[in-house]
Amino acid sequence: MQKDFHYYATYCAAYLAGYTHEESMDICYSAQFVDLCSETLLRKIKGPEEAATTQLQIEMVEARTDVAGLRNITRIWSSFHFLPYDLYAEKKKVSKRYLNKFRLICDTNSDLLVETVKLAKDSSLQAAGVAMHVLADTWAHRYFAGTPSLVINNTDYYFYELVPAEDGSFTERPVQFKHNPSAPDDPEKGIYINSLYQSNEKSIMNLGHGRAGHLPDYSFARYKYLPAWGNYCEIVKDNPSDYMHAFCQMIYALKYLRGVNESFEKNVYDTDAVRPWEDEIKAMLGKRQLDACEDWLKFAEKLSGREVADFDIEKYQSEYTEAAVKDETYLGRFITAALAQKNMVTYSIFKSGSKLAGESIVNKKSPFIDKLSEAAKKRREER
Amino acid sequence: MDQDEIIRSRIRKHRNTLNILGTGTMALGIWNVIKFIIGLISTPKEILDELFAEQIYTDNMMLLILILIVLLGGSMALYLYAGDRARAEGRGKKRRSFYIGVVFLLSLMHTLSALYIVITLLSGYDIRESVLSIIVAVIVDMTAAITLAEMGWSAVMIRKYQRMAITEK
Repeated sequence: MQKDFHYYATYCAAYLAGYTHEESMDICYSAQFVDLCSETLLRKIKGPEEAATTQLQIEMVEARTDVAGLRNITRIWSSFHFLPYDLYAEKKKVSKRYLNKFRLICDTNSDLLVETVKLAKDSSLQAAGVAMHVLADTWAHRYFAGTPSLVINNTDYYFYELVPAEDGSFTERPVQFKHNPSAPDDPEKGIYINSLYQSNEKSIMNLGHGRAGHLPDYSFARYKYLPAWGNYCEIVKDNPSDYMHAFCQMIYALKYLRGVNESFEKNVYDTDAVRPWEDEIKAMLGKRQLDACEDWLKFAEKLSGREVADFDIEKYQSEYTEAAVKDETYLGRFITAALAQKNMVTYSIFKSGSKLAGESIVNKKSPFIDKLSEAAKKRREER
Repeated sequence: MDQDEIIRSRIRKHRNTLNILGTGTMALGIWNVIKFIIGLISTPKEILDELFAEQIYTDNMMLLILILIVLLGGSMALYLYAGDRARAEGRGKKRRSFYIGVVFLLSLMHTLSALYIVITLLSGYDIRESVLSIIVAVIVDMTAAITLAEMGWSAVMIRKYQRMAITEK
């Protein structure tokens, strides 16, 4: 997903869940920051590089694709952008190596998603933001895996966009993929940019939804294609519907994190909270535009009656670099939340018998674990 | 997954096979011609001696060249025709079944070619080429035969599944 959903839509979801304007701003900033917290940025602010939640294009170009490099890539992308659906999925007549990758395929309403949301419970607003980013991406990035793999993430010429006609029906139009990263996508002509085909299984071009370009991140897109893992079965992706589900589920999850709901369960969506604005939201999601920030911003300001500031990547950086106790700064809390999320997912993948994200142990005596618990206790007392 | 989707997925699988192997068949046809021309340029006497008696090709060079061009062109046209039809069907366009016969015929020709080489080798006939190049020729012929047979098989299976889909409706 893009800034329009991770930042502005998350703000709206937080506000509808009952958070104040200021709390909603903290949550949505954190959600959007997940897409920007790279090793480069962390190096700049002298933060721990292990807390990286994304990789810039330049970092990916230079990334090693040896075992250590692939594990690092998988840890980041599986933890924050392609949360695995079923780490114990079975598939007949496949090798263990293939099965490990198959099990990293992202989909919605997974056990790991429940763990992600519960991890943010009684924690910081930044943790809530991280959880909302992960939750939203499970809807956009479903059917792709957060590890470089041709046999999982590849697509081919069988890729059709379902373009809505005026009478409500849909026409199939073949998607033309081009490889010019500097050219914008052209939804009117059905021309989109995707990553170059690389026959090397572990090429970075085969990470995530690169082979489908930005289509999964456009809320208006409806398309069908054959995923490489699907044995020629067709997947029909309806982004307007998926994004609406993501929005409703975010509200439900945020209400749980606020303490309104007692539990967070799979396949539950707070459609009641959205009902008064359903048509407006559907119109925004269905509008064929590459960037819906303006529309979501107007909606957000209408909801809260407050100005929603544009995302500024440098907003909290000086606070972090100048602080003596970094953990209590905004970015400090974000880093703590990111590390917790990454550790949880990495450990889950390792526990399932896969080393694609590397080895992982739970050190119950780690001061990091104690610090997490202390921070959570303190925030509970403050409330 | 319901029965309809299973049938559709199998049709897609075979279409994908046709698309890939169709491209390979066209490349094979072009390569056969290139290979022959390279052989004619580098070792003309050996090539021509295999085909004709020396007196014939010495007296009627131009006519023979013309005949060779026609035969090579015809051979390449067959491969290109079969490959192109397969690719088109692989992309979902409807095509008549005549090309399937051509595909199986080409497969048979490659099989016979490989068998001929093996029989010639086993019979102790004096072959001028090295054993290695003979083995390579057999492998290439058998690979081409299997590829073409698989392509024909995929085309047949598409028709079978399409009939199944219509019957079930």
